[in-house]
Amino acid sequence: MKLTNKMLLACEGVMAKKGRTFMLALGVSVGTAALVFLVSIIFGAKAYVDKNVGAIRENLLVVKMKEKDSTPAKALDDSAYRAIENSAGPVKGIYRELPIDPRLGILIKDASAPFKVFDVVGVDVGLFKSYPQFKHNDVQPVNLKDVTFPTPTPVPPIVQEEKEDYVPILVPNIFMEFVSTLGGGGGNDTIVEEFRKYVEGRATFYIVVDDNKAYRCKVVGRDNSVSRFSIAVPYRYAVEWNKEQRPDRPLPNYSRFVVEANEIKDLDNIKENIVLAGYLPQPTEVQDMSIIVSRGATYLFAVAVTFCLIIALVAAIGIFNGLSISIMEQAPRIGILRSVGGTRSDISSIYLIEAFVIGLVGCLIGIVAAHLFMWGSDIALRDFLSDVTNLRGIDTLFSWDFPKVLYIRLGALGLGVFTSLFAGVGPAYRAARLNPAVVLRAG
Amino acid sequence: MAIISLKNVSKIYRTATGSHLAALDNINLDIPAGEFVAVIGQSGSGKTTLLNMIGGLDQPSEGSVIVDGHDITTAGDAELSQFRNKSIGFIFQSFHLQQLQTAAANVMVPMLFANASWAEARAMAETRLALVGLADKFNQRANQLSAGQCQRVAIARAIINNPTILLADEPTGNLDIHTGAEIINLLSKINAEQNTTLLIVTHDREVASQARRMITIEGGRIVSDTGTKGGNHETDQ
Repeated sequence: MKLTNKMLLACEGVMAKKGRTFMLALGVSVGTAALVFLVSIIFGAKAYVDKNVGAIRENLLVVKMKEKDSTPAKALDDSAYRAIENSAGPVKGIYRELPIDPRLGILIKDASAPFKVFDVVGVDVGLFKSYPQFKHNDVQPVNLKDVTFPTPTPVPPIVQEEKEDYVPILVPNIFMEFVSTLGGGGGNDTIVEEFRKYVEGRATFYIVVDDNKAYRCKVVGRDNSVSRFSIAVPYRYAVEWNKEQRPDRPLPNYSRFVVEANEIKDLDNIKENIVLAGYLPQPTEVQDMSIIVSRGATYLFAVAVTFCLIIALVAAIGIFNGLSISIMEQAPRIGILRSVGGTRSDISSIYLIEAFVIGLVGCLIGIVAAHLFMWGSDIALRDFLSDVTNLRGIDTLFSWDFPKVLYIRLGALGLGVFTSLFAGVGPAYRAARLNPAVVLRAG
Repeated sequence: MAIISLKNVSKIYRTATGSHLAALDNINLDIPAGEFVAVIGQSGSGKTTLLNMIGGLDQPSEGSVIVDGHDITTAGDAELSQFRNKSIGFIFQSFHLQQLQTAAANVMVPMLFANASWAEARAMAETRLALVGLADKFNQRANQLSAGQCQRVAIARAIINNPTILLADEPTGNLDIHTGAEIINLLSKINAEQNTTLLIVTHDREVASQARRMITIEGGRIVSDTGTKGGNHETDQ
């Protein structure tokens, strides 16, 4: 029997039971739509995570002390710094971090001891008000846009700056308040860039140690995260300060070096070089975090795939039941088809084509419905969710990247049609095995 | 030369209780080509089983059935299906039409199984519907036709592939007397004009009397076989 004739008879069968066909196709549609929706939203979330987490310091490597396999362990001192500097190859920079580095917080804490409480001058200090270590009761929060930064008077003699080795004295989130006054937040490139220019161009930071000495600091920022902006002090001064202020506590070895590559693709080479030099380069904590988050997103994706398979299984059971009932109802028709020359193979083919048609139509409807629904909800909910969840920069809830959009829909179509065909095998086989004499007599 | 030949045919069913029930018991029957035969008997006597056996819808437990050169006993599914498609036309009491399909769509089906194109099948359906007097019902749905018209559509479907044998199972069972007579006349006409062997199963003696040969079945056995087969005679088997 010709395939076209089988298709013709299959379509007649589909049309002969419109209600049941509609319900079956509706089931397939809902399943397919759920599948497309689920995968799209997971892909959308993964893209968001990749974009926002992946952008943070991906081009950094951290060199730490070798642990068990290092005999003896190589100390991270200045000679090590030079060794890594010489072996790493072209890099953007190598930064050293001290275990008790002169971070501002530590300085402030230590300032309650015999040392003179230093001042941060030359910048409006309203932003520091939330830090209890500061006792400037007279400062009030102001809008930085309205502030004219005065030249601090008097400024103690400033230890001359040197070009090299500024050590970031990280103060987490200290600049967030700056940015808030400018109306922006983390992840907004424009605001961050504006902030960078604003602060670098107008504000000057000093750490005043005593009446005769002050360190001029500078603002450094290595990426687009505002919280990563730091006040940096020349390392040499940090060492000097340490010797001067805490002679009983010599500066220890560095806790780690941070190597910044020019480009992410250089990381492998740099890593290899550093390993050859006998040191242990690792991803940064932020990278670790991004890996964890990415793994989380992958896990979510796996969960979504599991849900998709469950949806497919439920749909398959539904289609199987629907087609089985349909075949029982159509037993006399099958008897007639057999009596006029249909082979078992013809009958099973006809019913498999019916399952295929139902699956195809259901999938197409489901895909279109899901597409429209996602498009609508993207417009309606994007801003709302962005505000509610405080996740800045949500461009879209779903994945709309062109090839991915196509693959998701084609995948859903393939899975839906395959599920329908798979679910149709049993009923089609049963239809083919019906005894025509029996069903014709019963009918 | 017999177009239908049954030798020692028995059909035994196993009942739910495990006992055996003989629907046909040692049947011997020869029917020459072009004959018009009526098979009569009470319900459960084995008439329909005999018809199904001849039509290749069922196979005997014992004996041999040879119809139009095909050994039904040994034929596989593909051969039996082709045999039914080419050689047999079935007509049923309850018509078995697709109610939502047009008369033409119902009639076309056997030709579709014979690898004809849709257009060829449609053209032939038109011819056959004209032959049974339903040329004007070509595009009418089956559920819009009367019972007599439905049976005519079923007859058109049965003859669309020019079968050598027509098997009608109670073709007038759902029709009034007048319409039933028309259907029998139509079948007789086809039998006469196309030399199609016609085998009608009925419990209606009036219908059976139209046939040139009448076979009576009781309890799965042929108890009489009267008519043109060498003149009227009683047969005990």
